[in-house]
Amino acid sequence: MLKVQNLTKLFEKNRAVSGATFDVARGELICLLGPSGCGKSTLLRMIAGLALPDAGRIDIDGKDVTEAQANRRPTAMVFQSHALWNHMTVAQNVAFGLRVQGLPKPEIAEKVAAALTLVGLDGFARRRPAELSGGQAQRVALARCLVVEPKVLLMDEPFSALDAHLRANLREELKALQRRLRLTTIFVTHDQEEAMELADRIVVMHAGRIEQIGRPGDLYLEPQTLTVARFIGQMNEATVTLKAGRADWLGQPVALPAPDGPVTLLCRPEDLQRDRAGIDVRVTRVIDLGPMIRVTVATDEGAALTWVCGREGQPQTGAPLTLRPSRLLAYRDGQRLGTAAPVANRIMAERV
Amino acid sequence: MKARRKKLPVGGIAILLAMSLAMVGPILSVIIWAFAVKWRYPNLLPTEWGLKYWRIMLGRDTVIEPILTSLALTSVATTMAALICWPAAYAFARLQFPGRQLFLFSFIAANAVPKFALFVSIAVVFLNLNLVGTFWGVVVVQMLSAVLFMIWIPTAAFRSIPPALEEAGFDLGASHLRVFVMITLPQALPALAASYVLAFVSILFEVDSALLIGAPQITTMPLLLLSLSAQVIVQEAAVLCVMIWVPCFALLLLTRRFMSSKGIAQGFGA
Amino acid sequence: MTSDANPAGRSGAVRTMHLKENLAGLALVAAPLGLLLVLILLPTVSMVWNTFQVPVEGGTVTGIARYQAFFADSYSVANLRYTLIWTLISCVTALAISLGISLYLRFSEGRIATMIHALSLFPLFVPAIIISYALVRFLGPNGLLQLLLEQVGITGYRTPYLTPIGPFIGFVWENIPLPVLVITAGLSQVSDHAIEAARDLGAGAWRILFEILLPQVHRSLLIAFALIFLGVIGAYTVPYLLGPPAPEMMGVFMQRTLGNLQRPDEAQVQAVILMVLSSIVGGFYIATMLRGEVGRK
Repeated sequence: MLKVQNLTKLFEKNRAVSGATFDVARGELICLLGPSGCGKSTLLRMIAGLALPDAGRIDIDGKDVTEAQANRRPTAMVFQSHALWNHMTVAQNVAFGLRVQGLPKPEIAEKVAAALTLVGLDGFARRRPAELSGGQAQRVALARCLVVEPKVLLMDEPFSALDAHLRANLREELKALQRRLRLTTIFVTHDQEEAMELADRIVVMHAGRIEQIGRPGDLYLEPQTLTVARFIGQMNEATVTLKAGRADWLGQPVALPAPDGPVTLLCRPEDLQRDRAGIDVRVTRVIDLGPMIRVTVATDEGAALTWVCGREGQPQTGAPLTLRPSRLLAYRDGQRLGTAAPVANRIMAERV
Repeated sequence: MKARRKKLPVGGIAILLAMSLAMVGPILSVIIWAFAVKWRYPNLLPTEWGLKYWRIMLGRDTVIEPILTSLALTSVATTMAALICWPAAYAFARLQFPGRQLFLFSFIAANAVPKFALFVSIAVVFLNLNLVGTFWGVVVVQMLSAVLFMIWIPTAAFRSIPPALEEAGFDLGASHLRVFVMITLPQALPALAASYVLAFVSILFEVDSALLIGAPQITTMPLLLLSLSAQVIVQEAAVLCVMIWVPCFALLLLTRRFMSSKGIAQGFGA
Repeated sequence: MTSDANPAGRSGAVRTMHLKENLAGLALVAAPLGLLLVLILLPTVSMVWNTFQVPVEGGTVTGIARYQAFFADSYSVANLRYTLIWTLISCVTALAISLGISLYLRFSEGRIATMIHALSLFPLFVPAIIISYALVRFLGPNGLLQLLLEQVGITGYRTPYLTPIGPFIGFVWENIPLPVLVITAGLSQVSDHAIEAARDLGAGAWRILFEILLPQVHRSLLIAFALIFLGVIGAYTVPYLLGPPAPEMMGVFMQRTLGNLQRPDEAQVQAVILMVLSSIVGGFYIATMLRGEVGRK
């Protein structure tokens, strides 16, 4: 449906977006995820035609639109600031795209009413944007895009100005609507929870480059680069030296079939388990998050680790513990090297 | 803060009284004169009120004609200035082009030229071009005065419209022109109207251009006022003042809502 | 498609778009800029050129004879001196009063302060010719002010009308709003906490004024001064209606030379001299603003 190839945008010689390549299938919802300034909004604006790329190619539905301006592309965008026109009523806002297309008046009225129903705003047609709440305004902005039946719907952090509770509700509604109408959607966000919840696939961006494209679960379990691993979820990180396929991670011997050299090993907090054969640590802080407990511990050498556990068996601050990583992700030069497995600690084994 | 206990703000009231007298007193005396039929020293107020002099003034061609001339001159000059300045203001606010900063700055820097001396130089050039004493000669000079109002306020107005509003329209398939007409213009209209009124009123009462470029063939309302103010019959000038200024004052008050004090100050570079 | 061949270079579409934008921008600003050029630069240059052309038998030569004539004429010099002195006095007085009002407004609130603020901006809505005429009626002999004073038993009022004080009052009246606008804007940037902190550290009222408040409005004050100066030095209406018949302010002098005496050559010399004197303040105004622009980036 949408094909982006090698898209590049320069900003005064810096590359705002560099060689972005990905596909979006019909009816798919893709999230562009990354920290602010990573180029995700610029990438979206290039797809919309609001910014022209310095290099690369964009195809929509098999048609090259790289050099087409925004008003000649079958895309419609929902802006972060909702960008409603306050000199028009809600209905006039929604009707704008249809008026531009030159549709007859009765047809416009019909379609506008249908679009407002779709976003749950029956009876709001004559209101002014100034009389709407933040959530309602963003629904109108969505209706304004849906009514022109765009081939690709673009959303630039549409919910980030709203409060958390409302954001969660709108997210769910959007997902349901998108499934029902089979809308091809690109959704930009810096909020990984939002991306995980909404996306069929996530495109993780960093410093203008695409780091990884994958399903939400895959990104979490198998981050392909160190940047993605650090950005998504929490990690316990230490860089160690690998020698003859063995290394020592904070006192835990691990095996990794790879050439000798420095290697960064990361372990998710939930991949640490209490095990008598493991790393000796002392609890420094216990944080009750409700459904689970987050525990910060320190090794004898002073390295800090984060561990999560259930409510039962909750440790006390200062208590000694032995933790064993079950799964460690290994990276060298920022790229994935493999998965390191812990091996039995010989001394410990002898002691037992 | 014990010192700020409720006490009568004597200082404030004194300043207020002094300023009321200084600011309102002069205007008040003109308004009283306009409705006075007999006001002889040493009466504090007129001994006879009435609209006698309004009837006299409105019945004279020598009064009506300059007013109509002024309105025509000012309308043409302000409208023409708006037609060339508003698109320029849009360009200054939205487009990138070489020399943008310098050009925009030159419109403030123009304030640094003493106007009267400049008009003398223009008058001499116009003298050679036979433009002195002509309608269009005055219009062109008045446009210059209008331009200084109509670049800065509209530029600030266009700048304050979030670009996303225009992009949203563009993205939905509208052409640049259509976006400008349907979105940008309505958004900027209050401030544009305010700049129009401000320029209109300031030109309407401008003595300098009419005096140096227009006189004696073109008699404008301010020139008439200037000649009437030397007359023995005080009421004539007073009536003219009230008749023209009060509507303008009301208009200015209306438009002030659409312009921040800061915006006005920025137009002068302050 | 040029994109794949040279990923670092700008694609044709981007270049065309930038070119279009540049051209559109220049085209849109051309008209008012042209007006500025034709009506400011051209006449000024030609005027300066004219004043150095001295007529001799059978033609003209370049020289400063016209200027020598101006400075040899004691009446012209007196007018120039009179203009400069009263312009300066008017500027300083207007600024001082505005500063006083602004400081009062900074430290007060409530209805009285709001009314004072509104009154101080009122002259913004009153054209010069209206206030000049109104001041004639108010301050003039047997005017409203004299009547009011006599009501409260003060007699012996001597009118400033047709003395240098007349235009002075007019100039000050006209020029209260602009400095009040810019000074109150500057002063509002100093938080109450900053002032209280200084007071805690033992700073007196004058020290707070000169070391904390005034530095905030320093630039605005300079610009306001320059603007008032440039407006007053070339004023016509206020001194014409309120001032003495002699000496004259330069505006009145120039108008009489050009309009009544029909001597454009002399009027041009007067205008050039006025422009040169103003250009000191004008150049300073431009420089102050340029510095501000650079600072803002």
